[in-house]
Amino acid sequence: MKRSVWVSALITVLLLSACSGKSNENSPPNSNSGSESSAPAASASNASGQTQDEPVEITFWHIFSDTEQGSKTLQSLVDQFQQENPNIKVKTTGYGFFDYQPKLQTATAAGEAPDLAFNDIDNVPLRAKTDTIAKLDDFLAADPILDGYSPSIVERMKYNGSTYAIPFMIDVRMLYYNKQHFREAGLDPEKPPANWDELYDYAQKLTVKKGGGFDRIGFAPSLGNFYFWTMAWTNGGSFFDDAQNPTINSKENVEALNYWVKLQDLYGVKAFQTFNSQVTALNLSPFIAEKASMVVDGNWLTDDIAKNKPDLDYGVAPIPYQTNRTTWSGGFNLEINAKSDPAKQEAAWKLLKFLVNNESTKKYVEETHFISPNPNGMALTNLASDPHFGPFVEESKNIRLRDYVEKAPTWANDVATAVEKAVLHDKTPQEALDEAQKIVSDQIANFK
Amino acid sequence: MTYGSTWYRSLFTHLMLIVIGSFFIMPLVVVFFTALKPGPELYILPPKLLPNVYQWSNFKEAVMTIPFVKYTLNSLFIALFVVVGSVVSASLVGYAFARLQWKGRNFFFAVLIATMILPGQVTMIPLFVVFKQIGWLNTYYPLIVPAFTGSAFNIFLLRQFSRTIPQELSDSGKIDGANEFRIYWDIILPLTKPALAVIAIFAFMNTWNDFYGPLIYLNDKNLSTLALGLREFQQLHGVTWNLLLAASLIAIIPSLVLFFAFQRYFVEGITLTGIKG
Repeated sequence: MKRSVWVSALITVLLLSACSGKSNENSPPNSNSGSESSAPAASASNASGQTQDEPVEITFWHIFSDTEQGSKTLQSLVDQFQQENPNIKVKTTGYGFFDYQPKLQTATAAGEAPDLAFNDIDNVPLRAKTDTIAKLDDFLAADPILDGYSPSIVERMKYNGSTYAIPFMIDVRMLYYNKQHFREAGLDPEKPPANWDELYDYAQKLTVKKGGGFDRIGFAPSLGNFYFWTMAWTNGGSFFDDAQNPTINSKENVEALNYWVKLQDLYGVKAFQTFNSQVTALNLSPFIAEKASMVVDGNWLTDDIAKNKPDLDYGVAPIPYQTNRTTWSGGFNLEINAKSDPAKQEAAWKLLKFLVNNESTKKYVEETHFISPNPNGMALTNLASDPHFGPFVEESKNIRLRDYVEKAPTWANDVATAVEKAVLHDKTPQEALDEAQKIVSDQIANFK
Repeated sequence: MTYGSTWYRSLFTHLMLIVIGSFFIMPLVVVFFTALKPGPELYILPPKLLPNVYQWSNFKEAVMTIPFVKYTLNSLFIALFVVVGSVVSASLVGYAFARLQWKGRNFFFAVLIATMILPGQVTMIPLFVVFKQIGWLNTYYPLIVPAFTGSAFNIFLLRQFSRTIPQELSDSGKIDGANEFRIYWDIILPLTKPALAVIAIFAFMNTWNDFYGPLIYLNDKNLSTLALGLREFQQLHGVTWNLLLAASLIAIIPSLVLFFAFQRYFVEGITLTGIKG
């Protein structure tokens, strides 16, 4: 074919692709911000007690896939709600946790966000600032459902003094330990390690070598669901001060990272990576496989153990700490869409109220074994007296949420990178945290 | 060549093929046995291939945990339309490129081939925006309609194939007074059946396994396809591997059946275009 034909063909193709790429996004629907804040005020006055007459249909999204208990429990709660409120129809959809955020964001950008939705517990200001979620102050004035909740959690639901979300689920991480392994190593199975020295000592005694590697790991901080910030907090360290200035390379944090690296060095980088690829590649817990004697993991592991290794002889203890007994909680809130019209927001608030009331909390917690921040609801459940779940309920008093920093929202990634580098001995802990401190400070300074 | 050396040769060839074949089928074997394991056995390390307990009920449970039948019917619905669309569009356009003379034919063929250079990731976002603007999100239209507009690969395949048909056949039709469409429909189309079969099979398999299209275009769970439905096995804190693999095995059965029934056409597809689809 003649070359000129090819050239003109290529140009045409490039022009075609350029044209299709020029997508004009409609100006995002967030531009009208003032209107929805007044709407709930007007309708909140008749929110409590009176049933509305007009039928209303709302959408509700949650983060459980169809195969999970959470999905079934929420559906039965929603069904119950619809029975009690015949004029409200609820369309419930659950997307698995990994698909949830992209789907939610796409829907929000398309103006089709659900009326009531789950979202992460620790970054409410992110959505409050852009007026994506509705202010709940007027609803709460009529129905003060947050009374009795832990003040520190309630504070995290606020932005600029107004409340924007209701906490729904928290999680708790503790130290799981294998009592059988303890006995074999000559340790008292009723005395789990309580501080860093003991943890180190026990980890050494529980490790079993094999060949050039390890058959069993005593304790490695990067297994399970520990995360560096949790360890730093137990040493009294903090990543930001009250004015949200970064304190990433504070003395306490450097101590914590030193200790983290010291634990990992019990195994060495190469041997540990080999262990990891063999044992944790499928996301199955090494603790259940009995390849790790102690692991810091979340309350969900208890169910996994019951299902997959019911006769495992194990115990649960607070995370070993130096100064502060604390643990990390992630979790989810319920939030109402700011762009929904007032009638739907009303109905969404009713559904929200129903889902977090004490009876619903009892059902939800007992069926899914997740922990609720509603203290009165939790008191109704039998979880506190359960031998395996009880410690988690007790420890939920000591939870701490990860900081949200508007000017450096991905600070946790920078800290994780620093930890990586320190573990691989690319940098010393001091250097690694200094670097993270600088990166985060720069992000804050450059924030527009 | 004596009888003896032929016998050795045959044995050697077969052995080699069996060994290499078993390497390729090993993943499927592992999937099969893992799908039969009860949950606790997944945690046995180092992993054992054969389960201690053969839990055949995993297959039943996998099918019952997600709306399997609905998803299968959805996948079939989309796949059928895509197959029809692919075959129709490719044969019509391929005929035009191969057997008709028209101004700019070479130019547009070059454009067609050049569009194969664009990777899907480049066109994905503009396409999504277009579909959103015309309101086709959360319907099957974005998945089906593009098949009717022709795919460069299929058109290329049909064009090449059509060119191998002797011009005399078209001429004989013309002499008998047929118009172009009748020549296409009655003479050329039946002769291109092998190529059409290849297109149909590849179109079916690609649509059946398509995860990406349904992921971005379908929100409503009722519209979900089988490939997307398998995602439901991924839970907040882990994956129920045995159920997921059991469901996956069932999901690939149509593709397997299709392949074994129409092996010949797969090979023909590769020899015709040198592209493995």
